[in-house]
Amino acid sequence: MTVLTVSMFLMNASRIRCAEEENNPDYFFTSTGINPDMPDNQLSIAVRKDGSAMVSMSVHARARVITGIGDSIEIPVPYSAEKVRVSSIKLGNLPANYTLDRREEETVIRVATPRGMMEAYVQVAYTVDSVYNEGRFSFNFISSALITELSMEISIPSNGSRWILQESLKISPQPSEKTYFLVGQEAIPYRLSIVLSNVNPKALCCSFDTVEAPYSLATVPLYSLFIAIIPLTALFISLRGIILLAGRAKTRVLSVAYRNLLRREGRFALTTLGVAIPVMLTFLMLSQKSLAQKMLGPGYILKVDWYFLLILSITIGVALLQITHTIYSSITERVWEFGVMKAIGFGPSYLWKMVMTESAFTGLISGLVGSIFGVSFITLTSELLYGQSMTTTAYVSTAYYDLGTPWVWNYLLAFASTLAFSMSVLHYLSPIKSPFFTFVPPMMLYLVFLRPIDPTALGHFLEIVPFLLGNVILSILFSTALSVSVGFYMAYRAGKIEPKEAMRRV
Amino acid sequence: MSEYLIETDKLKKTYRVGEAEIVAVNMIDLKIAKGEFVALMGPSGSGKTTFLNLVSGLEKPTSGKVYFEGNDLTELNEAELTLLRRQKIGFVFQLYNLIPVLTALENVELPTVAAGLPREEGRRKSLKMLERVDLKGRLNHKPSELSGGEQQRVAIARALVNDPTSIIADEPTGSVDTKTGLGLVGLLTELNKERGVTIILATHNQLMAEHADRVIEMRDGKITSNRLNSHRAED
Repeated sequence: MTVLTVSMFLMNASRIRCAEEENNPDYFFTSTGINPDMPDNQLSIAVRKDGSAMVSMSVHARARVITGIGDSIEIPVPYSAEKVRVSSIKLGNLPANYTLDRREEETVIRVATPRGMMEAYVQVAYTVDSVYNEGRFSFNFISSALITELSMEISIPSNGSRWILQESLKISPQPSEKTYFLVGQEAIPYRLSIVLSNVNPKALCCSFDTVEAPYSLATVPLYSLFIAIIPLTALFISLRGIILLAGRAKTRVLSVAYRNLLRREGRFALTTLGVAIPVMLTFLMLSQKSLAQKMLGPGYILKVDWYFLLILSITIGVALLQITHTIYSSITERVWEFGVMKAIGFGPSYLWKMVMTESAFTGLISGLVGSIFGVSFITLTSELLYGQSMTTTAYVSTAYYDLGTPWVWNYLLAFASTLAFSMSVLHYLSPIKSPFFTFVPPMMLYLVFLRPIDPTALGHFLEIVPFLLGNVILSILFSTALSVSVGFYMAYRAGKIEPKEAMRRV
Repeated sequence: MSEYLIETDKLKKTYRVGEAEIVAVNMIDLKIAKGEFVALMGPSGSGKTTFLNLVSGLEKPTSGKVYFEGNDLTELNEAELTLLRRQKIGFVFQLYNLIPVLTALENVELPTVAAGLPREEGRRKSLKMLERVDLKGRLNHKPSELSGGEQQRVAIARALVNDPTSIIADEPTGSVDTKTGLGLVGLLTELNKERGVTIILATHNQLMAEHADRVIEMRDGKITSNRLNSHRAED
């Protein structure tokens, strides 16, 4: 007795989904596949909310051993025979006889074929009771050919009380090329979409665990506010700290330098932006790859594009010119001031320190702003580049980790939060204390963060915090180093200004 | 120690502008006693500012010598000159030259910062000086929020905060009206009497010069007249 092996070529094809399954909320897992070369080869699995699964397939079965004479086709089901109910089996267009072979932990549906038959077109439909047991189910399809593409979808009804633990999700075989996780929340059911490409599966297995949602919708805004308050408070404290320290410092270089910068706030803002953009690009360089790597898993090698490097070098060059110009003109237009300070009895070293501090300050603030832009920008670009919300991994996006919202909305939110964040920064730096700046940025942040937060998203966020933070620090160091290296020579020049210049003021 | 604050010996300073050589200060021999109030008069370009720069060590002479309290300024290096300016000389400029980002109090404090005074002491001295120039109510105003006369009084307080032995004032009344100018010169006269600080005041206004003990007139880099002011104007 030879066994005909079922060979399946599967491809994502929603059109083969049964009519009664279409848009039916009773199903939380559906999987469909089709072979593009042999459109008759189709597979569909649907798991109902009650835990039972419906499997139907149409396959072209072929004898593996050409010399053999097939008398049956075996279809393994990884569940005990008590659970398996075959609803229809056809060979070609004719009903066929079948038997259920009981084996350990699995059942084999054996379809009888006419003696001597080398290949057959089989249509099988069967139901398995309670496959969904404690979040696990699995199916085995013996195959001798590649699955070109298989897509799966899992949806959970939107009662908001259960979350899928994303780390508990296990798919076998290991996806070889692309895995897209799109996880929704709020009013949208959880949906998980996985695309497998060019794998040769002996088995398809999917398991996951669910947990009770730890946060009710009522507590979410508070929780979100908490999230928003942390960075704001940290920022506030650190900036106030810098200013206080500057006030206390014996030489007060820091305080004077800080005020010298804000005196030309327009130019300072422009320089900050001019430096922030290359810093942002550097930040992207640093983060994008590692984030993508994390999302896509091992085996997916990302290349750094040469034109990206080119743009980066050009923008860094422009930033250098921008800083040089700013520091240069701020010195040349203050020649008399340096002269006065010299005449009053300050040595070159004080002036050197002052200009250096101004440069370092510019770099520091630019680095901060650039990183904020970078974090926001990365959420946008990942959306565009990877076709999915890598927002899961970026700080600002933790709040709107959401499948249902279109990316434009995420984009807008990212920029709203960036704007709010920058405004907060400017507010605490600015001597102008208007009610607008006092209330609006925290309000905007609140609105952005008001949306419920998924604990798994929080988990992802915590996971990436170390290297995101590391990259922020690196970016800030980078821009500070950039400014300081330019400031070094300029500060030397400032120190060399002669005191008689004080008399030359026109 | 010399009884003179400033002594010059054949002091000469020339500038080269293209091919031409301009003699700004031409062989000046002058002695200024400690505690004296000297007015330096002359039209623009007469060499007043250059002379002030030379005697305060802001510029090096082409030839000749300048002695400040017996020290030859031409022999001092940059750091020593900085120290001298910090401790012995207060400057008052025509355009006040206050640091725009700092408040009146902070501007006055600036020389104490340069001198490395403890913060509290610097503040105490600055407050006292601002009180002396009647600006107690304007401590936290920025220069842009002060009138010309007020700014110049802040500058005078700044010049005096480190208790220098001299004040070099280059046209301090040049940017204010006559009434305010007279008020400023009156203040300088008072400070001269109170503290015994030597004042060298460059001006081209006869009215201002009348307050000085001595009036020196300059023209084309040379002293044309050097007379004691017997009928010194009282304030």
